[in-house]
Amino acid sequence: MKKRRQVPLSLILLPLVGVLFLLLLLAISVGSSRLNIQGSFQIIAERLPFLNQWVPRAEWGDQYRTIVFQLRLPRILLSILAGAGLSVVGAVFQSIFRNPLAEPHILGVSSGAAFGVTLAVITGFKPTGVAGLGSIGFMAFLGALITVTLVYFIAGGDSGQNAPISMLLVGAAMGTLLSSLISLLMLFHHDEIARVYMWTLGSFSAANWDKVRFLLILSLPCLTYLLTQGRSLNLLLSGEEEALSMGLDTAAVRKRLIVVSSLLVAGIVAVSGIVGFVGLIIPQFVRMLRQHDLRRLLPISLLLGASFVLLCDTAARTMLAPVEIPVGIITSIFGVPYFLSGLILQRRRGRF
Amino acid sequence: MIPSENKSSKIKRAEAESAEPLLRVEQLFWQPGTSPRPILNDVSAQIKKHQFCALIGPNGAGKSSLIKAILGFIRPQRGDIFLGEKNLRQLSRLQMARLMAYLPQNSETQLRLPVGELLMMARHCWIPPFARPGKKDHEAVAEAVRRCQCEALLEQDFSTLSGGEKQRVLCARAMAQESDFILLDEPVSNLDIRYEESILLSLKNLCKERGTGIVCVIHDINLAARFADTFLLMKEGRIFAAGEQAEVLSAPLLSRLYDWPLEELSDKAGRRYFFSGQP
Repeated sequence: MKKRRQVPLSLILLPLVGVLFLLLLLAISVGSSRLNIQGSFQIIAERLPFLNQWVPRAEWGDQYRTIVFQLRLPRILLSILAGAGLSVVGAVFQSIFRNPLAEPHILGVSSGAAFGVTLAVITGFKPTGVAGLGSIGFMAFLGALITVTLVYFIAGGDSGQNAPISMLLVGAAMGTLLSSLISLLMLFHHDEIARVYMWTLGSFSAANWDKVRFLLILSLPCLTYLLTQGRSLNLLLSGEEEALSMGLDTAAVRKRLIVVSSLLVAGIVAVSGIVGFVGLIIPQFVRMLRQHDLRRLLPISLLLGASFVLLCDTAARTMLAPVEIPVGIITSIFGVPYFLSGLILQRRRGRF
Repeated sequence: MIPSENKSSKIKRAEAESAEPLLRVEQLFWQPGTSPRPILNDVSAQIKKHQFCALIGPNGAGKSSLIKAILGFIRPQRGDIFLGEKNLRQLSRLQMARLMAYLPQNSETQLRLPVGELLMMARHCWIPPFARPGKKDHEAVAEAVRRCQCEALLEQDFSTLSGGEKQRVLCARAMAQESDFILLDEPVSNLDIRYEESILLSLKNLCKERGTGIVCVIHDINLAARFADTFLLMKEGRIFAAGEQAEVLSAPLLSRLYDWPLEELSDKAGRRYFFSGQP
């Protein structure tokens, strides 16, 4: 006889925004040249309208401003956007495929996008400028969309027979195949190996403002759309026939959600490579906090995911400095135990 | 069996019924690619509002498929389904949901929501996108909760309920949808007698008081005889017989329907019981 009382959503989201902002200041401060949090705040505030009239100018040299604005801030914003997007897409995939372990990387979608990017890079597209990123992003989108469609239909499609496990197996097989193909392509293009390799492991080290602009333009409409779909996602989780009988055109809704999610994943992969498991860890963690309603789970996941990837990336660039750890390695180290325990729980309970 | 009514109210009811939309199934034919024989073979039937219609027949007769075809879960190769003048195949899912609700044998829901929230989901077809539930929606849910006696469950997580409680909640969900018809696929097959009776009784009351048409696949002939007004008997993908209780419920007909000897008894109250004729 568990009684449940709902905390208002804003009371959960506001502290999470605060945490994200503090983490942002912290991340700006740490690194090979150290600032303090107050200094980071002042340097940021100088460039913001309104705030710059109230905050005294920081007593830090201009080289710090360059470090903050040219190196750290783009990287931080990129990791925030990627974390937000990956977490939301994870939660969306888990609903549309009715599978608590679905996630862009595990379903092979990220690898599909990565394959598209590799093709684009070796055929000569340069990841500079919004236009160049756009073409690479488009190839990534094609790769992601084709992969997710294949995985879905090989695993049983709309027939409702796609057992959760078979879908994960198909996804893993596709992921492995695509990674092998990427490696094969790299063998024939020696000069690109180092760059492509670092990037397949997932890293924000090559961040710049172009990439931030590109991902922001892509993320805003996609995330806005996905965040408004909580009601439909709840219905999808009710089962195919029940959702249909309550008036949801499941096939159409699923199609739209898959396209928008793939677009978002493709954009993230194009700028940061494969950062795996974020879409699994974050929504599952939010469920552990007993937030199962997608209308709540999505925005909470967005903020928590942004903070999580920012934290992971800050660890990635500072823990072994001056050596960079690809952030995808860190998220995988967190993610794989999570995934395995999820599999065990799923076998035990057969549900979320 | 038929409650005695005075003449004027009978006429009034007949008038009301003739104005009500009729659920009409016309020559449905469905043979899935893998099946050696048609599952639905030239099925035609009419179901009125204000009536509790039991769909009975042996396993594999096509009862569930008929329900699923009417709800649009499967698309038969031939045939049409009308509700009043509307061809259901030309309606959107949202429009269909306002006309028909569905209560499955078991819910496939993986959602862990408080029962109150789960019930509000039935209002999806009435609440505009991005809007919050209004007064009418809360009233509809409250009435469904009252009819199905789910008051004590509202705050609980749906996934923690027992099978019987779950089915009672799903029944309330179907009612909260405020559709013209509710279609049910063996709604009480796994439940103990208390839930069996209370769920069918609340559906029967809804049918009498609000005029909601009930179409219910049911295996227990005696339960059907207790609650249903009209019957559709199906066998091997075809309609075997259709009509009011007095016309179609007889031991010889049912014996032919099930290919099994059945006998009938009546008790002092006039209730009829069917049982196996085998010693």
